[in-house]
Amino acid sequence: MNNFIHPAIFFIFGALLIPLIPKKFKKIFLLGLPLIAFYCVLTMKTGVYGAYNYLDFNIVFGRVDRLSIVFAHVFTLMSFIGVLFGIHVEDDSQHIASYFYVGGSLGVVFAGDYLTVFIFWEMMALASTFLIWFRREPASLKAGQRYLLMHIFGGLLLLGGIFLHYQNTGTIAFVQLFPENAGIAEYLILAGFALNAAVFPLHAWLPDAYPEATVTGAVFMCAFTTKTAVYVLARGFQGFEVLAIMGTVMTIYGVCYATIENDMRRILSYHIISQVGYMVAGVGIGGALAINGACAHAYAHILYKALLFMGAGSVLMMTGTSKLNELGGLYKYMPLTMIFYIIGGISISGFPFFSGFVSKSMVIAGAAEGGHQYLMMLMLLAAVGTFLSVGLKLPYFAFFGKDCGIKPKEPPKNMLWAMGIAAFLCFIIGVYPKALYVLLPYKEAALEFHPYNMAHMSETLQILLCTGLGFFLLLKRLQPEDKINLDFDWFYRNILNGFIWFDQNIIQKIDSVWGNVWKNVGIKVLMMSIARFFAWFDRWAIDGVVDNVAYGTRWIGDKARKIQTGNLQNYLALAILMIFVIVGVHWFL
Amino acid sequence: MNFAEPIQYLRDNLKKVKIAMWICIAGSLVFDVCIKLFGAHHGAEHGEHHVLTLAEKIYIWAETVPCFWSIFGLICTILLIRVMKGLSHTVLMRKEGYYE
Repeated sequence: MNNFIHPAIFFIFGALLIPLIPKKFKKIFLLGLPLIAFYCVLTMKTGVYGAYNYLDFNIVFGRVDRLSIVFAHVFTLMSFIGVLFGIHVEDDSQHIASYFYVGGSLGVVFAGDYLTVFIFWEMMALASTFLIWFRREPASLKAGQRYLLMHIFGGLLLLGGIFLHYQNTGTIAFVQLFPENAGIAEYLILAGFALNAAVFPLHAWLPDAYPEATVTGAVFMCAFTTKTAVYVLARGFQGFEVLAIMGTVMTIYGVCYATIENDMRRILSYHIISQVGYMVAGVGIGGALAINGACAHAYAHILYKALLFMGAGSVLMMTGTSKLNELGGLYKYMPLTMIFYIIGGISISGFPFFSGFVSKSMVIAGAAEGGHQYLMMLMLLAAVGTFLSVGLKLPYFAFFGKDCGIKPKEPPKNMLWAMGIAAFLCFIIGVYPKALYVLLPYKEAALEFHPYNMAHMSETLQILLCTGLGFFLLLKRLQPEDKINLDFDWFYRNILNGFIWFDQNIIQKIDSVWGNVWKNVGIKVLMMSIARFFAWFDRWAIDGVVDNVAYGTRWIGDKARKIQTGNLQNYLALAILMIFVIVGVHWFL
Repeated sequence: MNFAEPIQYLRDNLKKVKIAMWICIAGSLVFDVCIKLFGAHHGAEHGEHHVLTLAEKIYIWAETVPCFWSIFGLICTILLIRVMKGLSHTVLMRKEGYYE
């Protein structure tokens, strides 16, 4: 089969059909479409499909190559897991939003031009905002608003960059750009993409919004927005040094905040920043190994991060809280959730035989091979922080710590199955990395990479064990506190508050003063003077003309009436007089 | 199957857990020393350095030091906790609802 069927079609049209499907078929419908889309990705062949010329723009909906296939592969797989996790949700609107969201991501992945990228990019932003709003909490509504504003800002940067790029080059083709040729246009596009990738310092929207999303919405959100951004960066901005540096900063920044945060989903959100940092750094470093590493890590990350968010979401759903200071001792009541969460935790920490081990080491090796030893060391420092906060701190205080007194049940079976599938995939990729490596853009380079060797195992075990030792030595210092920590969202929240203050105190005062001036001077003096003038003009000019024309006509009529005596002699004399007058006038003129 | 039982057992026998952990750490250190002393020499003799992995190539001098990664892991953990907790308590931390 070599026909290309765009997998986004199933999600976008499927979303429109969801409300029309009878309730008894709805679950089959919701689960079936991601499977069909996954099958389409498995069977598609590389090439360019769906190319159209519209208003002299070359629009390409289906550029299929190894880079797009690896992302589409994991996106469709994740969509099935995500839908399965949320299949018990009876609110159709949540399913519709998540379908549009996945459809938008797949649209971006196969787009061959910036216009198509932009359209699907905005579809993703809008659909994901609803996944926050549908939690229907006051905090969610506000967080969703901020999320949308940030993404509109990012979208404007992207659109501005696309316009300038088109003006400079005359093309909207979405192809690899080179640092030496990049100007303002290209850096604007990069900034638009970087905002979605939560690149420091444009990252604060992520830990602000994701913890406020619905339980199922957060699972989708952790998988698609940032990874779609990683895809577009890998597509267009390989080898941009700034990404290598900012990506490494992200790896450290995320784990630093995760160490001190209290909310489970906020900790995991900071870890998205950290893990996406590895991918962004891999793209920035460039080269076959680093790009492969970025893609492999994106693939592995989607699965284990979704697993972690599913675990945290299950805890939130069954206990009503996700704050570590309010949790503890859940292993007795939610053992399966705990096991799945721990599999996610050790996968993200890079334990041997789990997915993070075979993907993260590829990025780090790419940094070392590219001559970036300092970046390599910083990434390893971030790996320590990852295990410390997600692999140790979070499960310790949520599942093993002092019993909080809450006695929840395990979540519904569909949620456990979704977590089980994700956990199984994390393990399979770990023990059989070739299954992932054959999908990567540079297949030969990927197959030459061997993560399992004595020295690497030794290095990993030492780091993990001594991180564990450090954790238990300083356990008392890590006690969760019912507090929040300021981040860069402080700036945009204050800018927003400042804007509202400016509006309420300056703009409204100016408006009020101007209103009074207008009322007292404008209306009472100026407008009334003009009105009086027009009243006078109306009375004396308009009415005067009309009245006097009427009076004149009546006067003329009155006089003319006297001429009409009824005597033929008078009429004849008048006619002769008129002839004389006309002849006389003609004679003198 | 009751998954909680083995965990409860470990919680009740924390001393054994600690001993097991120390044994693992000691084992990993011995393993690393063995690799550094014998593995690299053996690998060089058999030309195995062509394999493109992080650990089989030496990128920084510290990698040649036995147990370097243990020290690295421990110091990084302590630094992360002390520095970030300190920063949090002095600068970053605010009460819940600070933005409300």
